[in-house]
Amino acid sequence: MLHIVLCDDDPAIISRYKELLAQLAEKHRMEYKLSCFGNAEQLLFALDDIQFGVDILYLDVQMDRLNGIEAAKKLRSSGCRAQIIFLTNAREYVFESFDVSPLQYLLKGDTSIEKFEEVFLRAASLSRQESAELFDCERGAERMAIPIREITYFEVTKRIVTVHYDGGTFDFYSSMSELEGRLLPRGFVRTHRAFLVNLARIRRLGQEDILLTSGETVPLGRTHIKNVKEVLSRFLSTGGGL
Amino acid sequence: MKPGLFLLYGLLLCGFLTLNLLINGYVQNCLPTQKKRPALLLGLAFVNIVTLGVFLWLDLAIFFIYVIFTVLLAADYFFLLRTGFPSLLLLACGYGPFLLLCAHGVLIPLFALVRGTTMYDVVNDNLSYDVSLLLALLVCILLLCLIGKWMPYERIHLLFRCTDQRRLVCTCLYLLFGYLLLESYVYADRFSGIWIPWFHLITSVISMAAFLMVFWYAVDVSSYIEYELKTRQTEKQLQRQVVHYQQYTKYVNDLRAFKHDYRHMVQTARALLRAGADQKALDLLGQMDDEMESSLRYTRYANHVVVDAILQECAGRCREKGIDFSALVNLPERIGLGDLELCRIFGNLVDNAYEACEKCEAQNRFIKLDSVVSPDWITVQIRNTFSGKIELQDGLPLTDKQDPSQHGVGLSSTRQLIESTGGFMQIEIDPAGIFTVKLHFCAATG
Repeated sequence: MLHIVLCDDDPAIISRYKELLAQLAEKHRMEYKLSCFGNAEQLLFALDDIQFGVDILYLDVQMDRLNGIEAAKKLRSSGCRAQIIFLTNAREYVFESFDVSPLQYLLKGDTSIEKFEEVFLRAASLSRQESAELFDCERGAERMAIPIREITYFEVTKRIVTVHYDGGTFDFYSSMSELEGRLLPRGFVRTHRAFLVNLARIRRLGQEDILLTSGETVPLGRTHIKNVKEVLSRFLSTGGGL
Repeated sequence: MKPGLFLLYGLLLCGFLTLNLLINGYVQNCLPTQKKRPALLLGLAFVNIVTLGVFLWLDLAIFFIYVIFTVLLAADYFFLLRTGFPSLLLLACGYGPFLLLCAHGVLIPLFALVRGTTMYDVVNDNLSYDVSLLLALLVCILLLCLIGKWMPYERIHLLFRCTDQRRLVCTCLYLLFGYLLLESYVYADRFSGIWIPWFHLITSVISMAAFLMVFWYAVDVSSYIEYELKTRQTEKQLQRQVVHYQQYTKYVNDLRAFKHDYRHMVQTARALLRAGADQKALDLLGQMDDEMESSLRYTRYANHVVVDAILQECAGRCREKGIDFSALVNLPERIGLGDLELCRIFGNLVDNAYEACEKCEAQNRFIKLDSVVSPDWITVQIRNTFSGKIELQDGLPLTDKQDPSQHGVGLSSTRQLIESTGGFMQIEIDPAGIFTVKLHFCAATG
């Protein structure tokens, strides 16, 4: 279930977007919980209580006392990983807002319903990925469930697959085609005959290899370069959405 | 056959292999943004040498050996590198064999002069022919190494990028090559005048010297052209900055004027309110609001001063032409590129987009820039409308600029810049008439 928060000092705006969100959730059959706040201080206070367990956060920028961007900075520094969307009339804060890496900066006047829907769906899909999706594997009686975002890459040698993740490595029996079937739709890309890499963990692209955020390098096969670039480009330009 | 000849034959093949590998090295290092396949090229070099060995065994005329060597190299590079530029391919495969022929053309008459025989005798004696070829190979290898030393790869690189100069060198090379090959029929002549070896020797030397001079000169000219292009870009950038400063000065002046009016208007409004003319006061305030909206509008397009200036200037041009321009670019400091590099990249891309839009006759022409930032990547996307057909080659669109010598300076240098820092560039063409360039910059670490 998605936890959505709306924060705006104008009650008319709140009720408008409340309605819009209800329509969208019904259209896409999503379950959600909505909390609304009239100012940023209340918001900070309330979120502190629920350990920032919020998925999508709609924030107005110009509010009395604490403005939306300041509030977002505070939330981020206390570990809030929600998808933040600024909803505002003021264009001039847009560059300042970049510091808290919001998903989008929407201008109330300029935002069509379609645009709002698109951003909402992107936020929803990102927060689904964010929530600890697990990869299950087993070797004999030993079972492992690794959060997908902790996985850097898979290496396949014959029938043995080694999964490299933040906590170490684990071997199990499987094949590349089986792995591809499970993981290509979940943000992975084949970079070599024997390597399957998490897109979110790629740090830089070389001519013949790829540097990962863990500091390791994996080979980049000649036949895979084109596809890797295409998939990674799509992944990056949608902000990690697929 | 004597064992000595066998040994000589083996040495010859080794010489050809070395030469082939040397030329491969040249081609791999000099061709811009080509895929490098060292293992395959090495394998093909062996195939070349075996083929050549068979032909050498058959004792064919010199003419054939050189043509076959050139054709073999051409086949390798054609299938492996797929450059798409015929002059590039021709230059790559003709360069080595031509120098070899020149060296050979000096050595055969020298042999004839020293031994006091005709060149026909030298060529038709297995031993002296093989020795002369071996020496020619050595001289040629030495020559290539020397040229490599005097003219580093980066400079030859420039030549490969500049179409006009490349064509000139290529034409010169094949004219001289063809002439020398034709001339080599002199070996089949038994006529024993002393002037014939001398004549052939001098022809060969002059051919080589002429080619090297043209080559040198063309590389120099290419570097001047490159230099001029850079200067032109810098100049353009300066103009942009000036326009930007003018816009900014105007903004400051407007602000000052507004401030001046403002005090006056507030006094008037106060007086109106005091007199009970509420509606009039409201109208006045509304008027002030409108004025502020209309004249004091300053939209920032990027949080990087230099890039913002480029975008401001383009926005101004677009406004005049009725092109819808919108941009919101976030470039954090960790982008790891200097102002000048960013200037070159954005100046280029924005110019390309503007030119494409200008030519386009569609109703809703637009240029749109946006960005997505993640901890490791900074993605900037530029979309614009275009009309007509765009052909991609090696992932880059073919230019339709009038001056083809400028080809490859725009997008390909952008690509090189980005790839040198671990990022990459993607180009997408929507058949509905939207051209998209995606730049994926690698965030600098630490």
